Amino acid sequence: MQILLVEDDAALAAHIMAGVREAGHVVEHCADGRDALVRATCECYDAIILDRMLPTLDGLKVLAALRATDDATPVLILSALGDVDERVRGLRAGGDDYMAKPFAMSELLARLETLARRNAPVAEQSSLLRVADLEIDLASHTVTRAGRRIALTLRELRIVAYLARNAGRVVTRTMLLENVWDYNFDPQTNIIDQHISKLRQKIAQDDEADLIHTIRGVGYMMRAG
Amino acid sequence: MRRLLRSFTFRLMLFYAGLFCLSVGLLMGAGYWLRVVVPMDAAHAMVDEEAEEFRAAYLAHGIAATATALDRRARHSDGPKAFHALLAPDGRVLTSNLPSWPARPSEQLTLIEADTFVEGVEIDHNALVRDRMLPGGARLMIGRDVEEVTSEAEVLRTAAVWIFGVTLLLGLGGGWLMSLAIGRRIEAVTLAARQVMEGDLAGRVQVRGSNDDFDRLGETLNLMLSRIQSLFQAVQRVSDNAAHELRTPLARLIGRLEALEHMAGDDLAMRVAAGDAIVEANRLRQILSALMRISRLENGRHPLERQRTDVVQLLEDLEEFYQPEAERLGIDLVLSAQRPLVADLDLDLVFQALSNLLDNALKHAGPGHRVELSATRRRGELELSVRDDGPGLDEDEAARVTEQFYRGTNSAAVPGDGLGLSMVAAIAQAHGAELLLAPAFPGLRVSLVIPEPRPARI
Repeated sequence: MQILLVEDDAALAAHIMAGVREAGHVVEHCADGRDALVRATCECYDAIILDRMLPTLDGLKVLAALRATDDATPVLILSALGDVDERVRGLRAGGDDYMAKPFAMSELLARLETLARRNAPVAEQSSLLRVADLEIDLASHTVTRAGRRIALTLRELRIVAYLARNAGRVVTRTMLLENVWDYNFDPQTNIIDQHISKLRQKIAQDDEADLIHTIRGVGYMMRAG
Repeated sequence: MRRLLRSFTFRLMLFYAGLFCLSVGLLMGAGYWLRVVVPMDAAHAMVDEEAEEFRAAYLAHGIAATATALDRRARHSDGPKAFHALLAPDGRVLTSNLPSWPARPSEQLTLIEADTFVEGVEIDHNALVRDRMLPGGARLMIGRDVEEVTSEAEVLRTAAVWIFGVTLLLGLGGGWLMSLAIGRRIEAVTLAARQVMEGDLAGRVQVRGSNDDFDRLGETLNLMLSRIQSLFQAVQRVSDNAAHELRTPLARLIGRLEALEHMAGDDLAMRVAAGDAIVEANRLRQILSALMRISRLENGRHPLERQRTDVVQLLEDLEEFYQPEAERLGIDLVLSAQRPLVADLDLDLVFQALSNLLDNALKHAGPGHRVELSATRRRGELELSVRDDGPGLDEDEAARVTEQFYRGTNSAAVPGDGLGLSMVAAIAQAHGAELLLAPAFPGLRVSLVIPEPRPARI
């Protein structure tokens, strides 16, 4: 992917660029808002990583100006202002995703991957999802594995659908919380783990292979084997 | 009316009206004493003296001489008009210029109406009469005209009623008007103060431009509020910058630790150490986020986004979210709420608050125990409660649990940073709600009592 990184902290920018390049993406960097706006409107990027507190022009103003030109490039806002209400402000301003500093590089890469998938609407809009022998029919709310019907609650269906849509990619706990539950909040403990644990038990029975894999310290990934 | 009576201005006016009434009363009392009491006392003394003289004359000279002397007195006496009546022991009237008198004599001084007709014109008289039985059975009445004094007394009494009535009316009316006028000016100050208390630092006292005392007070308060606002904004900038300045190095730190973990390769000890350091750095980040959020809520910088909320749905979502954790811990998590239960709430904040309370309850209750999540409405208040039958809290601890970083004696083995209940308290404050911790015999009941938002008074 072609990515524009807008970050005024040189050391942090270097760390992000190293991580993004290591993941196989091409990354360009600029350190101030005006420059970012010029580049974003002149070049074509697959995604933009945008800091909020920037010299010359605030990140949200850059975003607003960009959206005013009907530019729909996915934007991941990266900010030290990490409260839930700030997150909501960022998303309402036209951001596609919001990450608070400090962050784990693995989570940043996972979110970038998910953002890029938005350019693949056919897969997104499909109401039938398949991962190995697991089949999820969103239209009829049915989940089957090798013909065996699995009874799931509506929330479990949403979790499994989100994991299946992002099959092969890391999904962090925060991403699950933001996309599956309709509340913006910070749980004190990793309750998500218990939901995944229950889901695993329902999806993989007897000697069936586990499809939901834990990525230590990061989150989960759904993949065959 | 109750509000009017509580108004300081009105009470001050009542006090002044009372003081004025007292002054008027004293003045009128003095006038009454001079114009009525003194002349009446003089008339008493005069009548008594004359009655005594005529009794002596009767005893000395007999009834006929007394009658003659009485007639002479009526024709030639100085001072107020003289009145008399002398009745023989058999009841015959020997002499009298009184039109009537009481049937039975009384030893008291008596006022008798003694109107006279001069050339067809009625002249009002009021006679103060000493009515006595004389030795031998004769009855003697001696009196003097006190019409002027009684008329004066009547006028003064009527005037007093009117003056007191009008003074009281003016006092009450004036008090009400002044209370209204001053109350409005004070209300403007109260309104501005409330606006600022609710977090709108741009609230200012409305100034009329008349440059009166209230205008000057308003201008002074507005200057003070402007100063507070600029100081507050400076603090806000500092805290935002501090957050930024702390988060960014933390981001760099975590980045470097991740790189270290990556470089450790097969060196397990190094990888574990780096992993532990990342966990600690993340914990620092969470504490910083929580502190910033609490600060924003407490300072009214987190605007509430109230929306019509199905409270039971909110509780069902919470219960569903925590049920797997409750099952893992062997705790019976139950919900007690009945539809319809709708309220205007900031959904995310209330969910966060109840999530923190549930988290605490599940951590402290222990296996085999029960945690109940409930909602009830009564008297315009919504009560959201989390109750557990665990070890509970003693009174001293309950008073301190909302302090930042405070961890109770039972919390040593329980993960947490001591900010969960501080955040709940801040969320309660933002909603104008009360956070109540009460023993549940056994265990603890923590409740958020949220008042229904009232329309702002203009």
